Amino acid sequence: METLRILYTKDSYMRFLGHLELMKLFERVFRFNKLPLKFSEGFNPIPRLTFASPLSVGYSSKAEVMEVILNSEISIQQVKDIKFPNGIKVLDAQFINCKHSLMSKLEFAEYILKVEYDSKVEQLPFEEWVESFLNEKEIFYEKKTKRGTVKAVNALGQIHDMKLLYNADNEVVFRVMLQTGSNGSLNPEKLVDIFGSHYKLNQKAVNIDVERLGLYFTKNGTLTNLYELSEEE
Amino acid sequence: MNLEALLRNVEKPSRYIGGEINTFQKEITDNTIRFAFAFPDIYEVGMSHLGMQIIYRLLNEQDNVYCERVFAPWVDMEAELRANNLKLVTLETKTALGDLDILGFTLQYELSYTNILNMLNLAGIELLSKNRNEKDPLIVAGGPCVYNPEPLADFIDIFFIGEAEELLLEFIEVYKLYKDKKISKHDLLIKAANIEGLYVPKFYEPEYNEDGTMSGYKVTEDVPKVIKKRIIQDFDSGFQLESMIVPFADIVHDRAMVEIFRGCTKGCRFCQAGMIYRPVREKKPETIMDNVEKIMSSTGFEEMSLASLSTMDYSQIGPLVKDLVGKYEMDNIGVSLPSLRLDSFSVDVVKDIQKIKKTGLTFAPEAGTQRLRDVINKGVSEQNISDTFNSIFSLGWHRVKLYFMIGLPTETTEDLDGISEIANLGTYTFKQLKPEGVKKSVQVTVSTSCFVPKPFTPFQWMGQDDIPTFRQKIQHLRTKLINRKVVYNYHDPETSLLEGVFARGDRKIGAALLRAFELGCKFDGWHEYFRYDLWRTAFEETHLEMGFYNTRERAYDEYLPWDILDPGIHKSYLVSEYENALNAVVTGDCRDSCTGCGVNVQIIGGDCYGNA
Repeated sequence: METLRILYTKDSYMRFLGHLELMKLFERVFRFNKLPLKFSEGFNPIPRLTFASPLSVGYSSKAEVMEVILNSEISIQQVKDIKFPNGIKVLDAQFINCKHSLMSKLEFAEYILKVEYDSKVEQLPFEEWVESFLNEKEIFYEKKTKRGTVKAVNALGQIHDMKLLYNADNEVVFRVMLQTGSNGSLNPEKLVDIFGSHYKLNQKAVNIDVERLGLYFTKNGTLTNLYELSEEE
Repeated sequence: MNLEALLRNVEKPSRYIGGEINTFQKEITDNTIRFAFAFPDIYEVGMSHLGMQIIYRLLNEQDNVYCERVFAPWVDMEAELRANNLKLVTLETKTALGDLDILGFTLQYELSYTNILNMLNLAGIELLSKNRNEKDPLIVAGGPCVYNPEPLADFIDIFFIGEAEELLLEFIEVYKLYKDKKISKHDLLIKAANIEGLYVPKFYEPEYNEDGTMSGYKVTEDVPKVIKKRIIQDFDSGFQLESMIVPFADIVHDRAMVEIFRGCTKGCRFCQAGMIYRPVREKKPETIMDNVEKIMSSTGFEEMSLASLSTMDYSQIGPLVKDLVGKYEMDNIGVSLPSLRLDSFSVDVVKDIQKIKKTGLTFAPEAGTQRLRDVINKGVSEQNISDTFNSIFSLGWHRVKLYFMIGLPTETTEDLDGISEIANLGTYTFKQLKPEGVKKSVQVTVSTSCFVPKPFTPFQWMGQDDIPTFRQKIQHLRTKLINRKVVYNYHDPETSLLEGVFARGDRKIGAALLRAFELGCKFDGWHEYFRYDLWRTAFEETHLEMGFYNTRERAYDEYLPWDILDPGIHKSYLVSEYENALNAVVTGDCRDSCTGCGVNVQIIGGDCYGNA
């Protein structure tokens, strides 16, 4: 039994694939590329694919991580040569020996947020706002729990980093590193919402383009790409 | 707003993106004939359609043709397109439909006709053929509903009657002349009309009697007087589907489809497919195994379905299924059979397939009594039904679905009661058997649909039941089907009555269709969007009566709108089959002995099936 880990992109039109559709696509592509898939036991054998973090429909990504269990090793070049629909590309692949699950170790995700407002925002002091925003101690927002109740969560505890990259006309672009994974996640669109209401922005965000740059975990105090996760962690 | 921005606002955006595995991206030059296969329903329905997969590959394997796809956008997407002044585009290259050469609609069911008009409208294309010119794409149509093309005759330039594989390629050859500007649109249509199997309605003007019935067609150009259907003579060696598009969204039939034969020899009198797709033509088991291997190794599907009108009637179904299961079980690829006969042979075959998961089985006795099954020539006996119950319950199944039709000719209360008796026989058999190891309780689901008489069937002359009659029958069944282990589902009669209008309509009702579209009718086959009130208004405003088309009984000598077409079956055969039906006289399977429908003489020019 071998675990194959794959680093891949999901962009252009492929970002409109839902998570279930993406899983089905991987399964079928693996099947016809004759990967020696390991199937689950039981009434309804299914191949064992795990994805680090489902990406919302419409978000693109430069570096997603998934794993699949195979019965035997195959050449990495063969994996890299697998052709997916335009927009999904295998960037790298490796066989790993790692007991940790991707999901349990995932802590942060980095995003580029391109926010389009309904009118001009270039006159607004976004640069200063981002700085003062990060200096706040607490900014609470309401989040629904799995049980359906609502709890207050401190957004600042979930923001590792936030930078303004661009501000012109109706558009603002941020680069953010947000908590994501089993200990809680901050939705990037929610952040735009919290930020906007904190500074009482009159302009409304009409379109938010989200691109995920990478998934990270902490290794010896530094953020490391989840693709590098190994047994020692 | 561009398409990508708009995709954020709609449900299931993957319906509109294209780029699936095994789709084509071709270089487009001035000589490329650009064709769109248009399915007038949503992606999930259209992508489940085998004919689309066939035509897509067939055309794209041609050098100078590029076939793309387009489906009806769901209502949310339509609203976005209209709000943003965007046109309906193809999945492959996002080209507006109006910029293509040919749009080919498939007519799978009558209740999708408003969607055709809606799609043309969303593309900014004139709906009526007479308002389109050489700048517009040619609008063509094929599929089972073209066997009565008249309701769409004002909108469609050319109908493809019969199997399109060879026909389409012949048509493309003629179209090239037009594309190269060697001939005019009028000459193109004349040349097309002279290809056997193509019907160009504008050269055939319907003529009417005073009572509104038809007296015939006036042929206005030098084109054939009758349009003969086309078939693939050698189904085993012609075009083979060896790969399929692998869909993204969770479509209705999300599996590989492998066609094992065309046509059907059962001769069920209600079944239009059984009449129009004659004669039976099988593929050899080796050909099927080869098709399957090529499809599976290029798609990665985890399931395959053996497609045909009556899969259990394939002459070597037992060995074939065994071979397929043997070969693909290791790879966890399942085999499914789309329709089962009610007999123990079918159960034997299916038990190999569903070794572990015994979820449920579906059968179609169609009618409740032996007498009525004889009327419709459904070769299922009471013994078959009871044997089937016995074997499925002893093998471990505990759920069974039974399909029936109501509104069949000569139907009485006794026939309706028979439906309930069959359902009760099911639950009773289960209790008597008390199958070991089955902890769950038995469940029999009865579904009834309202019968729609179709052209080129022996029932093409009969009057369809009206809405109150159907309602009464459904009500009767509701009071009868009170067994706690029996679930009763029924289709509403309104949609069937409208289907009945279009199934046997003439060219006049195109006006009602157009009006209904203008009033906002679309997705008529979708319960939540069906607006019978608007349809009634549309017929009133166009001074047409639905009853003239659906509930009226026709005389044998009445000229029928579809008499301009020749599917190979003699009208005299249909008459004698109708007479046999009324007398409850059965006609045997035509594999056993020729029943003289005429298709061997008209279409093949020889024997149909072996020596039959």
